[in-house]
Amino acid sequence: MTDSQLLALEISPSSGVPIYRQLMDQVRRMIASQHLSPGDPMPSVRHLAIQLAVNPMTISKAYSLMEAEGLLERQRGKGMIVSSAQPAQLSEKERMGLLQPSIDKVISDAKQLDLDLDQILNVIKQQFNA
Amino acid sequence: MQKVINVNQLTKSFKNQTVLNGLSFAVKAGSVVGILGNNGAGKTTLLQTMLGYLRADSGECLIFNELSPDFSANTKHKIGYVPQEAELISWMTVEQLISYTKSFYQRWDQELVNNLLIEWQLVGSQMVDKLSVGQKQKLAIILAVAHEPELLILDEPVASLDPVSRRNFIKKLIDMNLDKERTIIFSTHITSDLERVAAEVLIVKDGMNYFHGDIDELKEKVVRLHLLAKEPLPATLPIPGLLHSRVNGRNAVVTIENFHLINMESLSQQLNARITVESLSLEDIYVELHS
Repeated sequence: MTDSQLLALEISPSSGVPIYRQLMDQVRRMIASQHLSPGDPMPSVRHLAIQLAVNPMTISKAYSLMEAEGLLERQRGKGMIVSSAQPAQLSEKERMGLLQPSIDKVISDAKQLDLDLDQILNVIKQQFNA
Repeated sequence: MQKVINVNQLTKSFKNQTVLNGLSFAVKAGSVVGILGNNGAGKTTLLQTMLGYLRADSGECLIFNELSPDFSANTKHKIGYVPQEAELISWMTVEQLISYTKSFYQRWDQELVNNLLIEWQLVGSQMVDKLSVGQKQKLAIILAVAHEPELLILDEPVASLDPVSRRNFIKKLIDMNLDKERTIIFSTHITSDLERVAAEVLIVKDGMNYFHGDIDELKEKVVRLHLLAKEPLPATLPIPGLLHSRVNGRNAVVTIENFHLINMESLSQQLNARITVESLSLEDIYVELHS
């Protein structure tokens, strides 16, 4: 794993989402977008804890949960690597599920701003393929 | 796992004012615990009573299985303490104060001291009384960690530090926690720092243990719900564990303390409302619990 990818992990303590979940989400997205490939080594708990100034237990917890999910695997003597057998590509329904919070947010913001559905859909259509 | 600290039913009053009111908690070896509480909630009194600087009215505190304040020399060697306002001998130079403090201890990591002096830009020949408040705090921290304590207790350690020094100090704390599994307890007002470095939080309220546990667990329990219903909502919502609610016609914003127990789908049906969940930062949670 290169340093530039290391730096891409960033946490925000004030966001409200537990830090371990922020880390898991970011790694999951990096794997999905192939910024991380199977076999890539993950930084050590110590390294990441000090880099992000976050309690090492929090990093361990994120790593263990990602190991349980099959995203990462523990390699003897080497620490964590991105699992070579990635769980099957998420189904469309699962991927839609990941988008749902953003959809909720757009809908609720649009209602507050008194914008109607067609207006929003038009903008999304225009920008989606741009 | 072995408990480093065991506090049982600690009480302490000053004249007629009860500051600690039967406070209990325990800390496992290797934990990092942040203590949160309003001004006057009893954080400093708690730390000072635990260490034996103050005598408890009742209750007990065990550190490394020894009863406070009768610690053996060996146990005292295993504890490092940084008080809120460091009382440093003002007529010495930084260097003199370091070698004076060193003379009390059998173990002393001079390399760590030298590194921290450079990192925190303290000059050995400087007089202690010429140091700024932040510099004094840094020096007090160096003096408390140099004998490699297994337990580090810090009262508002970052209060006088600028943001850059705070972040560096937090990294240093994490480093110390990783090395030899040091146990670290610190009180603070700055929740974002606490959220980074501590895995556990102890919230002291009215001299009691209001919450002690995982920060993540707390964040998953206490959340805010935004409701948008088809019909006007009742003024009192039938939601268990409600901390606060603000109902305004078909809209409502509520804070609940047991999100993990609530079935959102059936609640949504019951109220005929769309519900969005908002996660809260530790600071938000703290304010919600105190208002």
